[in-house]
Amino acid sequence: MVINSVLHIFERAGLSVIFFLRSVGCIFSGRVRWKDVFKEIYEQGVETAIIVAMTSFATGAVLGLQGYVMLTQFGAREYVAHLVALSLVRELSPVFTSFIFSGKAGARMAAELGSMNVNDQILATRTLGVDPVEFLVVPRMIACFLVLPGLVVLSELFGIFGGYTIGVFDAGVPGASYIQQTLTAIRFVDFFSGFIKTLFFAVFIAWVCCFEGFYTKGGSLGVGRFTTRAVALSYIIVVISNTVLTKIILTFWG
Amino acid sequence: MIRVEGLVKSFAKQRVLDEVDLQVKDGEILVILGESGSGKSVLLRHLIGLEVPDQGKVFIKDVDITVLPESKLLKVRRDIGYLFQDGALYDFMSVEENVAFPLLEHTKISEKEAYQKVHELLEMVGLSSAKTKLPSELSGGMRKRAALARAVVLGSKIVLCDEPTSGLDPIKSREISDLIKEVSRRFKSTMVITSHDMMNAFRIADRLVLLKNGKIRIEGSPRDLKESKDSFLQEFLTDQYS
Ligand SMILES: Nc1ncnc2c1ncn2[C@@H]1O[C@H](COP(=O)(O)OP(=O)(O)OP(=O)(O)O)[C@@H](O)[C@H]1O
Ligand SMILES: [Mg+2]
Repeated sequence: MVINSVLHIFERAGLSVIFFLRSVGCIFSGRVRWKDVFKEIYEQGVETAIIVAMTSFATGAVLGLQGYVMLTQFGAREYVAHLVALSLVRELSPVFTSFIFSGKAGARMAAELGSMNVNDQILATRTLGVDPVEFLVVPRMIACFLVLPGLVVLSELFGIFGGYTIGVFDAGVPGASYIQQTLTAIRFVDFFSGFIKTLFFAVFIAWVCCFEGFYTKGGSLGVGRFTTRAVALSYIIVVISNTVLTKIILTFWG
Repeated sequence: MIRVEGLVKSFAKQRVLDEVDLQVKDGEILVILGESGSGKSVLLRHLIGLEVPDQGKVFIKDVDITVLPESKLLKVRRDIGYLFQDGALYDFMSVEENVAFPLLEHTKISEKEAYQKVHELLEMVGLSSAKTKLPSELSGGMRKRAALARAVVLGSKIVLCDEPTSGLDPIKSREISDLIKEVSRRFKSTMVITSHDMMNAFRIADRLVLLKNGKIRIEGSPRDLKESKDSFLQEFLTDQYS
């Protein structure tokens, strides 16, 4: 029983690695349908962008509020811009944007591929002499890889704007100096470490959600099960890999 | 055209196909009969390399496709049309886009020419008025006709149909069967059809085989089968007609 489920996990893991290599192979041999990629970018990006902008603005504002209270106790309230900018750029934006993205775009990818699979559309693609990975999976993966970093930058901008709103209108920091502080706070390393993590998250989310969707079994119930599993797995992988990647980046860059 | 030799396929411990031998001649319509669960769909999927057999060979035009890798199979499949039980049309494309898809993928003709051809074909299957609809907006019978159009749009010399009449009322079943017959005449294609719709099977088949316990129990022309004294076949026929 236990042995069986362990074997099953290894089998799934092996299958997912093969699936990933197949997709990457497709990309590197140039079999990319850019028209479909752009369609996917639009579909994954637009809806998610609005949610990301709103939640990031609110997050930045809350950071500003709490930070202001806390920093005032230490007599360091002029550092509120630093706090907001660094928390957002280093951790909050990459991680929270990835959560929102996998809950929305990731779930969509998994559910779309899953229902195509249970309706034989993926099988039909093969009978039509077309590689379903090339046609259905690769455009989604590439779009994911391009959209998520963009969303993270968007989240950083709106988050900082949220902090600015509180800092300037509530705490009375002069607007110009808030911006000035934000710009001095963020060093290239800060931005870059968040950005590199985002690229990893994008790959993981694309991989997990496409894989679960592509191998969905069990009719419409299966679509539900595999989709929720894809999202849950994405969350777990993002959180765990975030810790590992942060450790690695801090070790090398400090 | 198609030759199957000693095909064996098991799922878990269940032996679904047990040394099946089968030949389909050029331009012939062959119907595979059998009870539900007798392995008709599994056999059909082997003919286009969607299943890998445990043993045995499948020759398409004298090429053994059971040993080909997927990349080569994709090329072989361009010459074979496959009609899925529920159509399996892309639900994110309209009917005409679905039918045009193989043309735009595999031929060099312009988009305009492709759609012209698609519209002719849709006319033939009686879907001219529904060409811009999405598959989800069609009835089951219309979906099957659209899927048939997609399966034959490349002019494939081999067309495989899985249960083309299942889930349709008798009149629609008859219509789609006639359509299949007409397609086979017009494109001179070889057809393999699975069915448990006896009435239409006997109407359109040049030859029938009956699958039972993973083996071909009996085969012959519609007349041969009607005159056969085989007990299982008799039972099968009477059950169907009553
Ligand atoms: N992928 C699979 N995994 C496990 N078992 C399978 C698989 N495909 C088919 N089978 C089994 O093989 C047997 C034959 O299935 P098949 O779909 O070929 O039947 P069929 O003759 O087409 O039936 P129907 O007329 O209902 O379509 C069934 O018992 C089914 O459970
Ligand atoms: Mg079947």
